[in-house]
Amino acid sequence: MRPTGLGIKAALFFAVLLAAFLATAYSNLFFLLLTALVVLGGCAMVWSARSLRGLVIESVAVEATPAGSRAAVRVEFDAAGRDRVGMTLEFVIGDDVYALPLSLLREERVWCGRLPELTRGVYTATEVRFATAAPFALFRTVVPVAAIPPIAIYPRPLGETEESGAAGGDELGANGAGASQPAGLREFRPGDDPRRIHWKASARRGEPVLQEWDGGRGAGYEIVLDRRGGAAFEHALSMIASAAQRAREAKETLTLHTQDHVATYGAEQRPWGELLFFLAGVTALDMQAPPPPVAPPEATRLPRAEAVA
Amino acid sequence: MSRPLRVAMVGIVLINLGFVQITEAAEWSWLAALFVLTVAAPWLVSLTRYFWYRSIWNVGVQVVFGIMVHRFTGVGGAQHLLNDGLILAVLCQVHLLNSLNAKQKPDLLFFNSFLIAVVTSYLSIDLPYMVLFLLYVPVLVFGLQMLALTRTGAEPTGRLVRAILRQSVVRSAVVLVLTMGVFLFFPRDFQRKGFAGDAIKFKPPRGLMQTDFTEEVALDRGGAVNRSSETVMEVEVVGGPSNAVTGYWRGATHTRYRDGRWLPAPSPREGMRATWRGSRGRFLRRDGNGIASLRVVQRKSRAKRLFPPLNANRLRMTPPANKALIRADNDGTMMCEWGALPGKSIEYVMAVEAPFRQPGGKRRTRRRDSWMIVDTRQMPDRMRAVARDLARRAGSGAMQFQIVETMRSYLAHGYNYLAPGEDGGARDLAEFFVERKGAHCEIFATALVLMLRSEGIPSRLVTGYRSGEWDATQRVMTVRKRDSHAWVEVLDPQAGWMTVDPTPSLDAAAAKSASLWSEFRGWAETVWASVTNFNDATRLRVLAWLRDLPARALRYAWIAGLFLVWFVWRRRRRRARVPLAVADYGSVLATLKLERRAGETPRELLARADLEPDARSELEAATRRHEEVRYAVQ
Amino acid sequence: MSSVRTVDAQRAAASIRDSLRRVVVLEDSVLEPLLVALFAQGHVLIEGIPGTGKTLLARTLARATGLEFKRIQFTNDLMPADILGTSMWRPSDGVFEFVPGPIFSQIVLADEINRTSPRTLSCLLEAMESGTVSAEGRSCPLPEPFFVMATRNPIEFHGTFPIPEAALDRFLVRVEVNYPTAEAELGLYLGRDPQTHFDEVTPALDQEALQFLMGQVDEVTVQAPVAKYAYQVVSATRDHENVVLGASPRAALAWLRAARARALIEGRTYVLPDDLKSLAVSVLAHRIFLAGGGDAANLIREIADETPVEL
Repeated sequence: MRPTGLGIKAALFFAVLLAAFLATAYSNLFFLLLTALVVLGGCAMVWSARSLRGLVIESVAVEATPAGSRAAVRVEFDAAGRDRVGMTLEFVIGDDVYALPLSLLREERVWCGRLPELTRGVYTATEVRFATAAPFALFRTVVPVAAIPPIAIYPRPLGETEESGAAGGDELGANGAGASQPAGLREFRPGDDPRRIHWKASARRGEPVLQEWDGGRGAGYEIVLDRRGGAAFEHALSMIASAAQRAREAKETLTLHTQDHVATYGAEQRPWGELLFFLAGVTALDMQAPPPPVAPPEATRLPRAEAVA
Repeated sequence: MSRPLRVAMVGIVLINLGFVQITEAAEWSWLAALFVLTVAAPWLVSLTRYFWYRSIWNVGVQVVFGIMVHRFTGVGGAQHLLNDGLILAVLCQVHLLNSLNAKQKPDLLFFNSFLIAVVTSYLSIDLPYMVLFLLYVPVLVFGLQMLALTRTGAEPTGRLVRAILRQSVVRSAVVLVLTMGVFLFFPRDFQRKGFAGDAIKFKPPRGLMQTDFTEEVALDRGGAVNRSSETVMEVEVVGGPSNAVTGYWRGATHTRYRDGRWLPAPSPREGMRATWRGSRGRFLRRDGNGIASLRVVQRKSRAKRLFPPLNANRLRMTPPANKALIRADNDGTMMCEWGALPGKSIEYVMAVEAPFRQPGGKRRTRRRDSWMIVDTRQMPDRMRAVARDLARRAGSGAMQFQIVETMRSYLAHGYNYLAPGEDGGARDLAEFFVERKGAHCEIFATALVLMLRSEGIPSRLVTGYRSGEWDATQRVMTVRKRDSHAWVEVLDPQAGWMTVDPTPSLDAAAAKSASLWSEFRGWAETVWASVTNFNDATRLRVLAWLRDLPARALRYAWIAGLFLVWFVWRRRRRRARVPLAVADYGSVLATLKLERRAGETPRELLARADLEPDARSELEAATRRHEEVRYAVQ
Repeated sequence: MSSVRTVDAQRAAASIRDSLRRVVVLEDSVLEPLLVALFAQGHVLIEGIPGTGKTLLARTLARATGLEFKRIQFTNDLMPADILGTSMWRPSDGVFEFVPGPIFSQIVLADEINRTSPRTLSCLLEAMESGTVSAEGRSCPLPEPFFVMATRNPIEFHGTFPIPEAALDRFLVRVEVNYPTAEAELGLYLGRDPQTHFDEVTPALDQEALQFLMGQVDEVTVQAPVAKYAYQVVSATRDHENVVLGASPRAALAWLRAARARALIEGRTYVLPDDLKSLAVSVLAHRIFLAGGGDAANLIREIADETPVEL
């Protein structure tokens, strides 16, 4: 616990008043007022010291978030039956301190807030702490959080709007074709899934027509990421994030081949969170680096050649 | 800056203006404008983003400052200094309130407000100060808490503010109780002069200087009357019977009357004073036979008067603790010639011997001393007629004291008492007698003196104090400035100067109009006076009281037991009562004056309610919170 | 994870509802129970006059959800085998091969079920309840999801069979389709042919997503105050003087399930009393029996409105 700026000013003010009190003849009311000030300061000290006592932080978690969105922070706590108003949850990341205002009322158990927008990356806070200057803004108390949650900001999936944070992704195909693109139309053949009929086109031609998609379907998504990508590298990461999202919703798997990393994610495979974590932290390699490992020919290669060109 | 913080700041500034207002140091025209600007602050605050608006304030404050410097350097400037300084201080408060933009810190406002409280405590110590102080602490506590919340950048929602309000109530109570505790128990030197005490002479402004005992008596007092509860003296009975102390403390005697005023003139010392039997019923402590030893502490006063008790036929005084020369005049009054008074306290012990002597003297002592001559033109015709009639009614062979008593009871029972300065009171004898308006003690006393004199009975007016504040357990009588009083002394041929008080009993007058409020007010004034006049003696008395408390408390332990049972029962019930979320929702409904039908869900109520946008969003938030707690979470 | 899904449920439901609205002129009071039944894996009984677009409604729903659709017109000479399928002799292999009937479809429109014989109807009801079909001594599972929309014509009584009361219990919700409002009907005349709209309907979600969402219904929670409200309403129907047979515990469970589905559609993970209230009539009204054949819907509405909602 240490005094805040206001606290130091208040101490100076008190010193001046005390000097005035000692300089003048004794007056009951002056003494009374001075006493009130001393009591206020003493209470501020005691209450400040107690303001975080008994507060049990059960967990602090930061949700993996696409870049450009504000990462959600979720705190589960037990306020021990007291209102704890005017706290901040501070993340010290590098030289920056992100302070989220936080007030916990006695009947609440969960608090959610949002960090400011961050660029893609995995951030490790050097310190996460609860701080408060309550009740009187004169003293500041700090309690560090023992388990520092990692902050993973993965690339923003394509076609996602700023606001919703939910999957848009219409351009990537409403049929859940992941990072695929419409490759053309062909006539309906027996055995085709009727749900893949392109109704508009069928209506135009007068016969059922299917839309063909380029990119991983069926056995899941196969993506080769060449990390020597240069300029289009970030865009490629965004595409993978979109593919991951679609694959997750379609309960398919996604296999990622890249330099020194080959893994399959999805149901009964490695969890999606790991892929997002990888996407958050992955860095570009220089042009002299070896090419990505060999992958099946139907795999989608990223960055796309035209994008690189 | 958040709205609740602004509201707290407006509260602080309003209380500051109140502090300044009760000192009566500042001109009302200034204060009125400042009050208006303070109350308007919530509307003016949106203008702070404009440069011209802030400029007007900055320039305005400097102009006012300039005016004050000009006044200070002008003729008699020093006496404006305090008034102007206070005005400037509150002006700065209002300035801070009205032109702080969102980024600036309001710290200065909080400090300045405390400074104003300190300075005004030197100028005004009456009950309003206590009221304002009791208001100030919670508002300050709330303001500081809001400041702490606002500093975090949090949005002060309704429930946060409510939580803070809850906390402020508890916290300010704790602060006030602890403050009083320290105030009562902290040992300190009450006579401390201060290391710069001589250099810093704190003179209250002129308006406040009429608080002392005045030697002048003018019937038309207007509003210039002192109702201060400041202590004049405290008398402790250190030996002898406590009933040796009267409620009457003599100050000055007045003999010569002209045109509605009493002029100072010597009166002969003839015989001793004694209480008049006919009026003894109204003396607080009567039958003062025997010798009592009194320790008197007289507070600092500008007048040089000392106030001996009425029944002190013989006084033996120990030398005052602080060296002083005291002169006793032959009319039984005392002056402090040199030494302690004025401006300082004086303490001495005196022995009082008060043998009661029977008034007698069959025949009137028709005297024509020069000081006794009454110019009949000074008396309304009706008054003289009444005096003659009353004397006749007493009978031709009546003794003097019977005539005196007839006249006294005529006045005491036939006329109303009105406190000085009260509306509708008589301003001279004509109004008193002819229009039969109520009047204050000086008019009653003057009327009696003139009536007696017109019948040739020698009498004079005495001013002093009459107090009823007797603390039987501590054997202490407290005399306050508001207790100042005037009565009559009659020269009895046998018993000497006897006291007669024609004023209707103050207690009766008070009882007539005693309401619960005035009782409370009286109690509060007493309590507050004990704070403002706190000294070593009071402190020791409080400590003694507390020492005896356990023994006394044991007698009332069963009350505490009942209270404990009630408390436990209430706690149990409260615990079993509705969940917090429901209570919270209910309280929002109550504040919005909405009623939920039994079969109605919160969302249906929300859809049905016809509300302002603010209220609607509040209800929405309450509905959501309730939903989350009661319908969503396990 | 779950939050992403609930947003999807809301969006999927909204887009299905949009598709339906574009094609058929129906009020939300009809569409909502329909969607609720779909997500809650229940079945719907539609009552109403012919020509109000019931068939088109079913077809549109099938297309909007990307499910397979078959229609069975119930007549008094319809045999169980016409619904369930028969075994055919295949000479080339020398075996009987089971040819599935029209009930082997994901969305089945059973038109005018009160026209068929109780025997045939019981086959349908068994299929609805158990999700399997027993034919030729074998038990064949029906496709998933399996959603029956049955219609009943309450006007014509000639040549109809009464539906046993217990049979109605198989339907999660019952909705009544009335004539559209004048405004809506005028719009129908002036606008394009509903068939054109129908052709433009695209699947709002695929089958897996739909099944995922159906699974999500179970994740929606019901808290004690809400359950208490349901219990009070149900027990009020039992105690009511005009009611011969009140709502059963099964009815209450069905009601809560429907409410869960509605909560999911609204993007919530918990049930509100509002969910129960808005579905009370369509879920409960056909499960209670009034003395003297009064209007059950009105009674249920009254009880639901008057039963106190616990805060």
